[in-house]
Amino acid sequence: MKTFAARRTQNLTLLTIVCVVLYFAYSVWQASLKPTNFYTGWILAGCMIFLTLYNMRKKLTFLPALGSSAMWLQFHLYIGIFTIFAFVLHVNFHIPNGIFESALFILFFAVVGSGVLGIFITRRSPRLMTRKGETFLYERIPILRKRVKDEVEKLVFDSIEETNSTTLSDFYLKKLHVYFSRPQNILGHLFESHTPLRTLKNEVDVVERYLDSNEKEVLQDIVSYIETKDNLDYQYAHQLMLKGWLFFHIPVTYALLIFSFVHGVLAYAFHGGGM
Amino acid sequence: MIQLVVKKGRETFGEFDFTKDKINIGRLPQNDIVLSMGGISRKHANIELQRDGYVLTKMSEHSEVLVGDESIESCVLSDGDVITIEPFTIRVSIQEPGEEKATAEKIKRPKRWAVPYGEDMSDEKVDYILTHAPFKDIDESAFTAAAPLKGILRNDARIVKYNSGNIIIREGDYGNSAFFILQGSVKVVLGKGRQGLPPSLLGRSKKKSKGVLSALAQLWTNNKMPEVRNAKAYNQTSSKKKGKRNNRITLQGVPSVFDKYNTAHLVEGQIFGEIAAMSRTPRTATVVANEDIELVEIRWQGLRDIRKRAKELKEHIDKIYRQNNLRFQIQETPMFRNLSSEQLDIIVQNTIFETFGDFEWNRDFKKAAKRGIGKEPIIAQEDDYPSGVYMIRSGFARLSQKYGHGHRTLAYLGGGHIYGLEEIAHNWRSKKQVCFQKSLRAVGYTDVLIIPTKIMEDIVLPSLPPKDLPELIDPSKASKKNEALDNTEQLEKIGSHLMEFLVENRFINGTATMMINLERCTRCDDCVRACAAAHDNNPKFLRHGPQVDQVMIANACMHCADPVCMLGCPTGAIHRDALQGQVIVNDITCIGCATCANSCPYNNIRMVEIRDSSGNFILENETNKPIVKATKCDLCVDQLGGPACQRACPHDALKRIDMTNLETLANWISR
Repeated sequence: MKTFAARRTQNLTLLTIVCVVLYFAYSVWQASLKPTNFYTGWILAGCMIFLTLYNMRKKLTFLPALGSSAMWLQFHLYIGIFTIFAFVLHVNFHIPNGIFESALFILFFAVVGSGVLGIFITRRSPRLMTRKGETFLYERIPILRKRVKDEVEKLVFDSIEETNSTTLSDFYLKKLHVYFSRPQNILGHLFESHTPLRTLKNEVDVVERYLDSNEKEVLQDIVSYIETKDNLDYQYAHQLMLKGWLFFHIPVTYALLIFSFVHGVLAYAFHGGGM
Repeated sequence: MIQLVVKKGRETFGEFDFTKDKINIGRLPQNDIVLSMGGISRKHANIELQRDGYVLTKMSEHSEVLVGDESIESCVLSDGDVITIEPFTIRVSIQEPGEEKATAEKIKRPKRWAVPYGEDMSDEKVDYILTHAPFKDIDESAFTAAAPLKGILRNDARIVKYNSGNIIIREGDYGNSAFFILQGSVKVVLGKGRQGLPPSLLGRSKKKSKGVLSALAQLWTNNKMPEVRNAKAYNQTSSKKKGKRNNRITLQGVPSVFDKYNTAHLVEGQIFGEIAAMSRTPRTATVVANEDIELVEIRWQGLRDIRKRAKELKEHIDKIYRQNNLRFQIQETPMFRNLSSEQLDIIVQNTIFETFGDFEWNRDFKKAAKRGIGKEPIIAQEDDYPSGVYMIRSGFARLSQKYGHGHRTLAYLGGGHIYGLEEIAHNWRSKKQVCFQKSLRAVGYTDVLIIPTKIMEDIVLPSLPPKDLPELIDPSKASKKNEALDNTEQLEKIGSHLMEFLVENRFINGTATMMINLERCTRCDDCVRACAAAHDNNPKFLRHGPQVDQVMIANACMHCADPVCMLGCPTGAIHRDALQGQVIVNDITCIGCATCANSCPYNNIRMVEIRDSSGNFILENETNKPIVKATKCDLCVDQLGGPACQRACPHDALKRIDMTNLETLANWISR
């Protein structure tokens, strides 16, 4: 079994070689006054179609002749990087100034950017989630969150009867009800910020001064539920991000394909003897 | 009209048919559906018939109502929706006014012996079997009324005939039945060394998988409803398709094969194939009909019941095992390959056959795991005199060494592994004597063959060339290196924490354990979708399970080396695939008793209610209760290219790992 590091080295080496070959070919085409933009355009189109096919491959998992999804992802990543290089050659190291071409340019970098972001997320979030603690199925998180909320509410309601005091229940209504009711601090969790949790715990410290020993015990239980809920939110935030980025990447990809097609038609319609 | 079926777990709590326009659900007794349980509000939810249809509305701020997986405030219900009000689930069935509801298909609840093993078995044939040894000596009164001897023979056995040269069982195949010889004789053909007969001679062919077109067709032919079955298939009573039975494979060039390979001769009254059938292991030899013969083939459930009631037969089988199989097994072990026939006889006579632990270890393994290593049955102990070489025949054993005040697991040994050879070889060659360097403990149950030290020193060790002898032990270094398996590097890669976890929880049993590297898994569920696509839209595993460090062992059938799920199956529905050894469920003969699901120590078998093609539950005709079937991962046995889950993982996070191969595990962990 090849290690990931060895695979990365091999793929990067291959990519470098292919890029050098393309640059050499590009230089030769330019020197010999060939329609370089058409050549690089077709290379780009081929690469983009291949990259889009990955989504279809995912739906045909029962055909082993197509290769594994992991292999396709590797092609997707490295051909994606190659496409950036081909694009830079295609625009001849210039930023376009026409409206249509600018839109195309923005779309291309939106796809590339979301892809790079996707890779960053898919490498970072699983590690963070695993280190944080037990992971949960995304679909189960709302149920678990509800269960935590019910447990806390039961603790709070029971404490009213047991202690004849509403300090805890007032605190729950003011500070904790919303916290336990829905996902909290999504962005904070994505950026590894502990401030919201710390702030909430500070609030808990404040109210603790006004509690008797029985209530303090209940409060300690609530604190452990706060931490459980924090982990649920953490897992939710990262899994939401892991699922969500594709909802940007894929639609933008299809938009890019349509724009590219129109661009190709226009280029051939108005090449004006450039061929 | 709306029908609501309320369930709590698997238990049906109640079935309600309503024609009125408003249905209240909650804890109070005046509700139409009363769910008395803490956490459920007094008026939890209601269902009201409005212009759009039946509308479910949450009534209390503190309550939660899910439709499918989605928490709702209010929504229009559709036929087939499942409402969850923890811990209850309510299945919705809506009949539009004037609509004739499709009648749910009803079938008889399958029972043990609903599908006899032999379709043409009759009382006369049973009587005929009972006139032959060893059945004629069995005391019928020892059997229960529920499972009488004649009943077992009628339903769990069949008479089969083979012509001279026909292969009856093949080495390496998995089988769920044993054979008694009624008439004629057979030859047991052993391979040379560990090679076995070549596949071409054995008529092996690759298992037929789906073709490309039928694989592609799954895209549009998969059912939309879960667990859809063809109800008509359950009304058939034949366990095999007609015409299949006579497809015999004939061993080519029989006389020369018999001359070339080691063979043993078995005659009337003798049994073969029982070890593989009872111990859930592959067949160890090929058996060929020596002439035109008649056999009783008995599935292992029947053999198990007969062994339990008939002591004579049990003793008979054990005696035959010692006479035949033990010798074959010893003969096949490389350590003994230089010995003469007479020397082998001496070894067979002196070999001690012992079993440690409980054959049905799955019953209390979770408690046993909590009790820890100290409570595991000890086979051989560190610092004891090396009394013999231990050969693991079946099951698993933990190899450990004292560390501080506890024991550190170094490895686990499975069938074919040897323990104690280094120490005995060392003592034979060196004046400086050593004790056992490690302890060996039974994990679950372990069958062990023990060759006494004196036999090893007098016969075996002198026959081994010096290069085959293990290195001398340096006691000062022994604690640092595990010469027995030379797996120090692998152990370092796997890590003690994971190793202890795998052994303690018996995950070492898996031959296709689904391991997920959580540091790479993006929770995209492509694996689950691929599994569903390959199984009529029914995923066969849960991407969830015990976690240790960064590894998750998902709830997917591990296709165990020792599949204890097969132990209690009354019909043999759960069985090993004869060619590749996957543990699979025959949906037709499964009676939904859940014995396998309860026996599986890893919770990898689920019981599901099945539906017909229109989405209605298939009901038992007497009680109107849904028919239940066991379902689990089949390792995509009928698909092209093996498990779809592994191929679908884009991030190389998921792998099906054979736990008997530590190297694969170590390389995957350290990847």
